[in-house]
Amino acid sequence: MDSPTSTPHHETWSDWFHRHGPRLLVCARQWTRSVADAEDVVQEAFIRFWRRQRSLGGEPMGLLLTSIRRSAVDLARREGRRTLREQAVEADRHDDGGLFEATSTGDDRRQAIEAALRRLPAEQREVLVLKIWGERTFDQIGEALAISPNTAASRYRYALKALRGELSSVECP
Amino acid sequence: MIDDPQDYQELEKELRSLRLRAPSAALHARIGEALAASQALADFRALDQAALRTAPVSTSAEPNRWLHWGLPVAAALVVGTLAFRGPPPPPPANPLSLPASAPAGAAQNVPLSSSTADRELDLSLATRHPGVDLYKPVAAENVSFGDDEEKVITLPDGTTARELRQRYLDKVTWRNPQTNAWLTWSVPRDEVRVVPIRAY
Repeated sequence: MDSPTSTPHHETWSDWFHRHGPRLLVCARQWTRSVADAEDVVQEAFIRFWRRQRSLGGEPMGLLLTSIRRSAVDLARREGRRTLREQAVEADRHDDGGLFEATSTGDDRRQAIEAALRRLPAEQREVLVLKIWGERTFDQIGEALAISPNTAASRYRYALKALRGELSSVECP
Repeated sequence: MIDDPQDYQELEKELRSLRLRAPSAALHARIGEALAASQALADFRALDQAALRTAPVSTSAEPNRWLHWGLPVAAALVVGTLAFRGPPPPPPANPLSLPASAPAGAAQNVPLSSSTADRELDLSLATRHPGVDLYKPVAAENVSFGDDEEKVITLPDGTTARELRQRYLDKVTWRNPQTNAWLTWSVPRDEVRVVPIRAY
């Protein structure tokens, strides 16, 4: 897989977005209440990054995820919701599409994983998503979420444990 | 019982193997349009900066005010056209020939000087930068089309006032001395003024 830290100076924006856009979107889904809102904040953050920030140096994915989270906070405030936590709770109730592409085989398993992810507490799910698909370290996750790396690692372990428990019960009813 | 990180490696591997949902084609298109519009604006500003750097210093304050005002608005017209693909702005009048006279009804036409020194500067620039088009601002004008009294209103403090709408057309003209091409941007503008009515 291409490194999310590769600098986009020699690529077109389209190629870069094609490669990294899905990761940005899945992270944005943790902080917004719908696919449409997630795409809006990704759009805002990516345009800002490509116009002004990519020449500044710094690791692109980190810059973008910080920007996406900030945009999601602004969106929540504009729409009268106080915290990202409230957004995540609404997103759980308002299921408008999965995080993953459907597969031709083993799609039951994909759906089971999606359902198990939705049942995770929001703070565990966001750490899990940032770690697995955002490919962030615990230090970077801690910085992005304003928590300690140890707290991030702890939430990650709890998330994996809960996920495995859910998926085990699906396998062996 | 302490969890062994090794226990979760299989699960982590399975999660990473899932194919993430891609952003929609509509999102891709919106980003493309926004970046294209901002690139057009950046290109316009670069052209404008090049022209202003080589323009002679004006002896009148008026043109500078209009240039600082008119250029960003003109750029906004370009951006608006590219970003929203609406109808193009009206074509400039006589873009490739010198205007015969000032437009009728002109309230203020402030041409920049066209001295021998300027012509020599133009030739020098053309020699130093062959093939580089340099548009220089040559005129800025503000045409008033009169005012209409819209209505009588009552202000929050109880005073009666008249609301007047004044219509203007602001024009900024550039000329390329190398090709004698002209570029004119016309921007309509309305001003609504509130004038208290005083009873004597």
